[in-house]
Amino acid sequence: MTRATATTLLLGALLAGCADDPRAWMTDVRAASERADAAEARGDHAAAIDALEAILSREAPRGLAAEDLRVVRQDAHERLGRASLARGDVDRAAAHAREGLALGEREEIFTANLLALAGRVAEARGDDREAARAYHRALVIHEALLERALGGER
Amino acid sequence: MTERDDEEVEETERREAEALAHALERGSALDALPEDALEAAALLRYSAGGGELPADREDALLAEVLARAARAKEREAAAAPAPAPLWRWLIGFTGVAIALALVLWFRMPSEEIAATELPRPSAALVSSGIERLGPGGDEAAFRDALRGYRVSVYEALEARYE
Repeated sequence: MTRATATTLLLGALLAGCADDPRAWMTDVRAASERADAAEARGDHAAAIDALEAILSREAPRGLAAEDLRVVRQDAHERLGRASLARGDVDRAAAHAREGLALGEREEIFTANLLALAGRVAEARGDDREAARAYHRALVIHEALLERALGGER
Repeated sequence: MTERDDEEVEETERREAEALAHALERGSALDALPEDALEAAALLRYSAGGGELPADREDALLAEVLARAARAKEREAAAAPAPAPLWRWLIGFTGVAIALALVLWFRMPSEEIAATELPRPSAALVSSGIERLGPGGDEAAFRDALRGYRVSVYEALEARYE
């Protein structure tokens, strides 16, 4: 085995070994989400955006369920989209709505929030038909969630 | 300068003149010929031939030059390091491919791992979510309720990977 090959293999093994474990990743993501919450509460949108973008830019570790990753990223996309819309950046908001929904649509609140964001974007663009369609899809999910919630509470 | 000195100078000049004449005539120098006289003889002989080398001399020179060039090339080739054989490249590429595959394997989230069972959103939160979609909906109230739900979601996710 050549020295170069051995070095490459060792480097690869080290990189793989240094990959974050899911627990540490989730702890960091939660901390970033809480930083974004705090920043939003005090009206510091730039800091909130920084924290949320850090969530999206962080590579997910092996051992994390893909569906859990989707939940985290959809939530971050929705919050970033809303912040973009608040700053008048409709295109960026639309991109976040699109990217978030591309991760997969489920019958849950984070998908419904992305659909609501898509509706707000369409409204901002004057596309009432598309806005109504997006709101309706969000409502369908909310109704299903409400049924489940009421069923669970009975 | 004495008379004796004059005689010695004349003798030296005579010997050099004879040597120069010999060189011009025969194409070879005697011992008595000084360096500058030799160069002069060579130049005179060259110019006397119209500045061109005879064809046979040109051919001989060309053959010698080519032979020297070939030897120099051989020496250069012998001094250069030999290129790495193909099997070394193959092992190198295989190593890189395995390392990349390992990195991807360890870093990619898995589709096979079951999703965490997230807490159900409360009826109050969902109702608030429905209301905010209507005209005059209270987005701020929904966001406050959502913040609490998000905390419970992250707690569940974090607890799952302990």
